[in-house]
Amino acid sequence: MQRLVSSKRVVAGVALALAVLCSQPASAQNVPNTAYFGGSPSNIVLSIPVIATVGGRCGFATNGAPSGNYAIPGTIDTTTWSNQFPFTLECTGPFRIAVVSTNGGLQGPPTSDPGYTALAPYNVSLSVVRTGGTTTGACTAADLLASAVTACTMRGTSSPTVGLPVPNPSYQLAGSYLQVDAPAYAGTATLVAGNYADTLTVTVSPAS
Amino acid sequence: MKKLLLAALAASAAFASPAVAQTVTGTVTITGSVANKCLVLPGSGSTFGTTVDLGELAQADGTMRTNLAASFNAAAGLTARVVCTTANPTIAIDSTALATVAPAAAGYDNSIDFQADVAVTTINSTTTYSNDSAAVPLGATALDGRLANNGSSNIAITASNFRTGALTDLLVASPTYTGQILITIAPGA
Repeated sequence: MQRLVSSKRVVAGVALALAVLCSQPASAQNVPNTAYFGGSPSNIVLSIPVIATVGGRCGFATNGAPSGNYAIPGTIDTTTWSNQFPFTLECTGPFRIAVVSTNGGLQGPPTSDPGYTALAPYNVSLSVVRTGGTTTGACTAADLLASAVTACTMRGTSSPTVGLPVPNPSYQLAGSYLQVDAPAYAGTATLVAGNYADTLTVTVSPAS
Repeated sequence: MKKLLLAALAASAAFASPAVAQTVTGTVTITGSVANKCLVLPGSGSTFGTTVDLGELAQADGTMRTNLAASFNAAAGLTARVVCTTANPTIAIDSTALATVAPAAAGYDNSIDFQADVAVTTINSTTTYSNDSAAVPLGATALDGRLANNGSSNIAITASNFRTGALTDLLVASPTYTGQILITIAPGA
């Protein structure tokens, strides 16, 4: 009997340890932790909560990442332009999507001459088709510069806490896109002649 | 018992592990260009200028009025704001004398030469470029930097040294003496 009690105590101790380690409420304190053969209580109920999570998997479908080069037709100071880069996601749970602009605009030959600029602004927007709807976000390219401090939810490299939150999965759903556009440049500073370019990096990751 | 407790700890650690963060990346590039060009502001025009009506060119004695330069320079519309997308624009000036087709006999004149002066303000200086109507045109000449783009005019046109062939020449009568100052600002090389 003593041996039985001893082994039951061991089992009860393990149960308590599991209960504590699993951060369960302290209600287990009222549960008898000793059972007596032929006595009372003759048994104890071990309640071992088991919890688990399946980490969301998130990425682009094969050949579904936004990619490619868009050459603006005409010249950027006289042309209104727009382009969409489609992408397809494989995200099994809530996730975040974020964008970083390398230059914060279309960068041309650098100049410091007053009244002139080599940075042409443009707009960036995301439209993410997800289960149950579409999530959208929009910022200027300047707001997407990694060092920018202006409010822009979709700026950065995505992480569980960074990026435009998408509350539902998006698994091989068509129709998502990254859009870039701008009206003909109308700033007071004159754009200097030359070639202009910018690179957008789009990242996705499971949300926390 | 130690083994059981270790197993319990291992199980709890597994429960508490966060999902492994993964980040997947896509990259796109946008390219564009701005051409070499010059334009008139505001807007994006390609011409600037005005017509200056000097009125009666002769004095009471028939010789050329001596204050034509003052009359010309008092006219409106002789300034402009021009910018170029290039770093070293050029300027060329071609002045044409005020003249009429009416023939002029000896002691008379049917044309008035003058000197056109164009003050150009760049980000570095204000420099005056000139061309006399009696001389060959000023060919494309590089400015010393980008045209100033500060919201103010950067081109100012004046004229001086109006003259006939001889001071005593009488201007022939004509309703249409016409001349021109042609200023060409180009992007340059």
